[in-house]
Amino acid sequence: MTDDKKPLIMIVEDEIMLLNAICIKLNKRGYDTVSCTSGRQALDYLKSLPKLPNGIWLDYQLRDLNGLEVMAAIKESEYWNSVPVFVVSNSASQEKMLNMLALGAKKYFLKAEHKLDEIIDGISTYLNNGI
Amino acid sequence: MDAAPQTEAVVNVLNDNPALLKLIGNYYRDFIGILDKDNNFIYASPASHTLFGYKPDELIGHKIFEYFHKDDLNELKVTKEFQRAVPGYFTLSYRFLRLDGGYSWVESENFPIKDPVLGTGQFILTLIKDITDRKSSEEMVKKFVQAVETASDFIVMANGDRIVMYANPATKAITGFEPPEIIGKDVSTLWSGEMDEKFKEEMWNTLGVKKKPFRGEIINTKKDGSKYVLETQISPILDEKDDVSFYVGISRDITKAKEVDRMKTEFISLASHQLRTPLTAMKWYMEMLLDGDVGDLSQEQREYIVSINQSNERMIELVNALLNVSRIESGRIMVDPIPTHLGDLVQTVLDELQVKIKEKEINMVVSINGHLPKINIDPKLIRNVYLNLLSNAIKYTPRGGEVDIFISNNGKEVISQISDSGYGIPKSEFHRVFEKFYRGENVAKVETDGTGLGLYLVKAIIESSNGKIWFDSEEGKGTTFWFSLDLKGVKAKAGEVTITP
Repeated sequence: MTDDKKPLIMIVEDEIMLLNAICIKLNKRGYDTVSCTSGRQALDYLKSLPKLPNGIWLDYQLRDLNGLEVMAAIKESEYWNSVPVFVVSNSASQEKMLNMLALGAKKYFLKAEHKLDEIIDGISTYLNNGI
Repeated sequence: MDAAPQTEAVVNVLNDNPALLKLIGNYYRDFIGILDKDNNFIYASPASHTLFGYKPDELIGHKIFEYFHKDDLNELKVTKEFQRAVPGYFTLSYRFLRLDGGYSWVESENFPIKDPVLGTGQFILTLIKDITDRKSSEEMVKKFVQAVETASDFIVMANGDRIVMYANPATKAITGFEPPEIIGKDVSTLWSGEMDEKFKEEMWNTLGVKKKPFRGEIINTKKDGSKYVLETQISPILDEKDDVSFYVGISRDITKAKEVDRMKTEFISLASHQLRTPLTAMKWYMEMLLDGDVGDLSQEQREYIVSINQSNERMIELVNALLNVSRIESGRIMVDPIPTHLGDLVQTVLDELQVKIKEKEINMVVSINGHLPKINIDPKLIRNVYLNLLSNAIKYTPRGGEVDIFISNNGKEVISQISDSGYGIPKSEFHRVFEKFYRGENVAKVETDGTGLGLYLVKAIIESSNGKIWFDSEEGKGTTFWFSLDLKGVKAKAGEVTITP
């Protein structure tokens, strides 16, 4: 259920355990969440949601498409490309990171390096202050 | 037959034309000798001195065999020739004994000559040429030929028209083709394999137009259809007119090495994702437990979870270190130099280590040269070096000890010194300090936390930055590490990944 006052984050993560933890924490921090376990599901939701999410939490290694393909699809759409995307992945490849940032991702986090709170801090700072 | 008159007759002939003989003998660079029927010298030209050290008189009356190296004095061949058993001119190659006791390789042309009076062959005119230089060249060539023939690398020579003239035996093992199958054929397919037109163009442009050596990796197909990868260097050999006289290609089969490399990259990918995912899950769920997100914890419960969390963090650290090591070894780490002030870099590391420093009540002494210029190094990599060395110093020093960091500039290099007053490294283990997974015997029991990969990584980073790293230590007193970085900085290197901090 969504509350118009609470900001909405769409989470795209194919590992269910991690997805649950992310949801719980985001909810605790005052965000509404919508969960997707695949790239295609994420794009479908984007098409059908009544309102656009305020931000997208995107994992890189998904079961069907990879993060780049999802990012590219979001960027191409005039309707979606205003939604900030935050890439939270376990791959530290500089190349991957630069590619995602070049396609418009606002921030890139290495999962194992950060507590959930730290990542959410990063996302909140961007959504509230644009940095 | 009385030998004396014949000898005399020839000698008279020689004496009748002393001017002619003198002219020839004095000016002819090679040695001219005349032997009588017993193979004694009856004439020797002045060249005997320049070539072998003997004054001509010293040879007269001596048998030529006295000057043969004993291994060359093959009874059957040599004496048969000199016995005039076979009529006609003969050549010999042997070692001639010099006055100084050494031997010179010579080639002699020998002409049996008829006694002008008796009309029968009695004498031998021997013209001896010193071939020391030629012999040593021949020996060198023999050695080279042997090296090429026995090399495991595949060596091919083609002429200026790109036709294969020679292929060494290793050709069969590497390409599946026997040398005769490729000799006479155009070398292009062999050397450019299945590479695209652009590659071929660049290869022949470099070799034939720019006339410079070409290095490349080539994929090709063996005779049996299997593919292989070669690392090849082809060099054009130019003649005195600067035209290409022939091409020499030396190639090494790197198919296996490429496979191993690919496996390493796959492993890195695997470790990166598969290992980190469960580690992340544990980290995040423990975070929620400790934050009270799912209820309050008792003191004991909290302590237990904190312990689990610490173990988890250690595993995350180990995975990071293993990945860094794997990346460094496969050469995939990029070097991104920017002007960096090492003092500032060190300060960020000290900030990060503040908690540990306070916890152990370590006295940190920091002394950085006031006139340190910024140098072009990759801050992520060098920061990792300082982080490893400083955290080691703090970790392996007992409570209340001292850790110093000094950075100095000697005009050519910046030297960083990190010293501690800690447990030290046993002298017997000095040679193992930079090994992967090495941990000091004396500290592993005291301080269980440690991957043993830090110094291995530090050394790899410093050496790939053209610097040096060295240390000294005394058990129970402390350890000092030094490393140098050139003021000129480091060259950028394209790579795929960066180091995980």
